[in-house]
Amino acid sequence: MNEEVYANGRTYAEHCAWLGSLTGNEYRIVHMPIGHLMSMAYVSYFKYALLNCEMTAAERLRLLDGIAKCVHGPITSEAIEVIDPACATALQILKEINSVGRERACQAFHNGDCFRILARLNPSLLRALELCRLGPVPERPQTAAS
Amino acid sequence: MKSADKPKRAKRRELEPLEPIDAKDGPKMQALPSDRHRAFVRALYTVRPGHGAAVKAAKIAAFGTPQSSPQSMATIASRLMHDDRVLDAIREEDEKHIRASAPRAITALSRLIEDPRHKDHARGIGMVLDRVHPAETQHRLTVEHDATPAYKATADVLERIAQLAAKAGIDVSKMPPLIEAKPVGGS
Repeated sequence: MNEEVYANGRTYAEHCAWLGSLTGNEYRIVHMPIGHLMSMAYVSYFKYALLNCEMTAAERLRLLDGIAKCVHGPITSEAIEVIDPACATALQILKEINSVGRERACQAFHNGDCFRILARLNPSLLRALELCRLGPVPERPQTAAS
Repeated sequence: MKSADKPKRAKRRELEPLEPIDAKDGPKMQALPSDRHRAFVRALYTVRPGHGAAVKAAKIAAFGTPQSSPQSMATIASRLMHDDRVLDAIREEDEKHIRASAPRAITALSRLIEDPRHKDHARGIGMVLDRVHPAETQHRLTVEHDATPAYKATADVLERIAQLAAKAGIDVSKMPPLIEAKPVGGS
């Protein structure tokens, strides 16, 4: 039974070992709920729209309200504040994610796969992640003994 | 004798004393510095109008002296006529005279409308009717004050946008200009 694939091609033991090896931002990405990762990614998208697209006051207010509502759970207002607007590539990625439907979009953020790419394009997402409330984040890999 | 033929005149009857009339001057007349000034203003309405009327009025009001030269009297009259207090009093008296002449004007108008041969007969009738049954005109004034919730919200919306943008770390001044909202169903 232990040889069965548990998650993402890893057995249960491998998966536990992998989780134990996570530190810093990798730990944060994996342990942050997918919804919150998506929220932060979309905040960068909204900020791009607010700074580059002409819109009515109502539309602008709706977007800003959407950003304000992202301050929830582990995401702090400081984290939202440091997020920079998305670049053109990130924008394209988010547009495509948005077009495939909510379920598949969530899948894209599973285990932080998509978020890692977005964070590479927009490092402010990682800074924001550091400002989130995620409890103690291990600085060194956790072994089974520890 | 001739003088005896002349009928003797009957003794003139005595005039009864006038009833006291409590006519009061208006505030501007009362504000004049002296009775002579008040007399001057009243005299202006009694002297024959024309050149020298003010001088005559000043003389009636006992301004100057019997030895005053015509030039002196002219100067006195001119100063009186240009005194603001006197001018105010004249204005007050003007109004009184005009109002007092209303009964005579109405009497004249009555005579006018009773004379169908008078050239202004129809005009007189028109004047009376205009005052008795004035032509009614309706003015429809529409004042449009846009106090719809959307309009009122604009200031609030902009303030809210500024607040939320500050919270989100967005510089409002870097945002593109807002698009004016188009009316729903408008052409």
